[in-house]
Amino acid sequence: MVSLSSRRALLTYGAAFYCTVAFPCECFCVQELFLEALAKEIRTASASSRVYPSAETINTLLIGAAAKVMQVSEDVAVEKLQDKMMLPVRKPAKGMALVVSYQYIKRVFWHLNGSLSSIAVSTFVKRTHALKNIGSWSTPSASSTRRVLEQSPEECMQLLNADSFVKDAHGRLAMLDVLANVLDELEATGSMVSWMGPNNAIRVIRCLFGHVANVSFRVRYWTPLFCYSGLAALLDLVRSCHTVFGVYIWVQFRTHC
Amino acid sequence: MLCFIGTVFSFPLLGWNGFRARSSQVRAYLRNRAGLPSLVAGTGAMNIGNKALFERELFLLHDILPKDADVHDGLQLIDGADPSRHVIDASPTVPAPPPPVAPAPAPAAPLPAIVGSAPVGVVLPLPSQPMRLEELPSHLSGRTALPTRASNGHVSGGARQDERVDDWDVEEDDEIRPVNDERSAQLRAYRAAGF
Repeated sequence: MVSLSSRRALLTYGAAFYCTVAFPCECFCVQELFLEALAKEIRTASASSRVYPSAETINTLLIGAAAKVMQVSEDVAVEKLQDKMMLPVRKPAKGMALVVSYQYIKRVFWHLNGSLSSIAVSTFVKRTHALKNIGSWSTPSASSTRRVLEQSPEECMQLLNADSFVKDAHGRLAMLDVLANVLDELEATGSMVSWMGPNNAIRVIRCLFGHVANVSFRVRYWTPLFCYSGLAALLDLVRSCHTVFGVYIWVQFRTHC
Repeated sequence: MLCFIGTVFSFPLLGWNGFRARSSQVRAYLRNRAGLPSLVAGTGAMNIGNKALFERELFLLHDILPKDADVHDGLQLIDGADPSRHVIDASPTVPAPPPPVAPAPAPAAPLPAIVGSAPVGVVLPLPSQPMRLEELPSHLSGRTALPTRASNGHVSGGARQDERVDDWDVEEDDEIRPVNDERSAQLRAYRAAGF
């Protein structure tokens, strides 16, 4: 999980590195600006339905960011974004390749979306583990030292049943923490979260209905998927294919979010 | 064990497409087993990602979350009192004033006798040429054609008729059949469309 700030640092680092080898660093600057614009769009949405930016909004933000970085008009920016650039790729081999630049830059949205989902789900699973003591720690493979907190399919179904993950007391507490963490990632803590009460002990999150929906759908859909990506249900059948399937489902997850 | 070995070693042989197909089967299996709806259902040719999930969530949460702008359990919804907070493309963010009472609607025009047909007094343009359904591909042409029975009870025509029509018996009577299998249903739909 890479936070917004560290991702921004990475982008800046990438820009600096590729500048020294005389490759276009504009792309990285556009990515950085685009990421900020996206976060701002989600943070300051005017209506609930706009909390999840539509394709048109994303395009507008992308063109705006490109025009600002390249210091050209938006029409020129649109053309430039469709040109190919030498950019680092992983396939066919790690190195540089000519890539259509807007495709490269647009990934930022999926990356942001993915990190929001991952924050939402990991916070939710951790909080429900702490509150209700459900889910268990396991290691993905025998030699790995990494420990993964997973909920069983039955536990997931219980949480999903009649929306109990947003309705019942523990679920609500966990969802509030999820919301706070996701808003923190979007750098909206200052404007949306306040502390009230005698000792400033009560946290109040003031946000749009859409912000709640934006985190709750992630929990609703990805928590079962995360748990099944451990393939608890299929382990009896193909125990050692676990990693292969797990990686594939992870890839599927990344492409979906 | 043999099954497992076969699965593992078949991956290189299957190639990426085979692997993909198999893994998506796993995915479908898992979702199906958990009783969850398919993730890709409802999305068209364009991948709209999570947008559909988000829009659905807006509807689901509308009944769950409090419908006012007060603080509940440390959560305050700015547009909580907006009755259209869950509606996509809703422009107003402030609570809309109650809609003015509409005058009593004029008595509705008499409903047409056939569902879906044009109301009385409206003349529909005739189609420029007689409407005709496209020919089925040759290998499917026997499917919807009713078997013609000769006097001795045997199916006439050497070609093998479709089992769905041919091997039909009383036990399967209450089975739900797709509309396009039945001539009469097709005809009824055609009539109902006003042609």
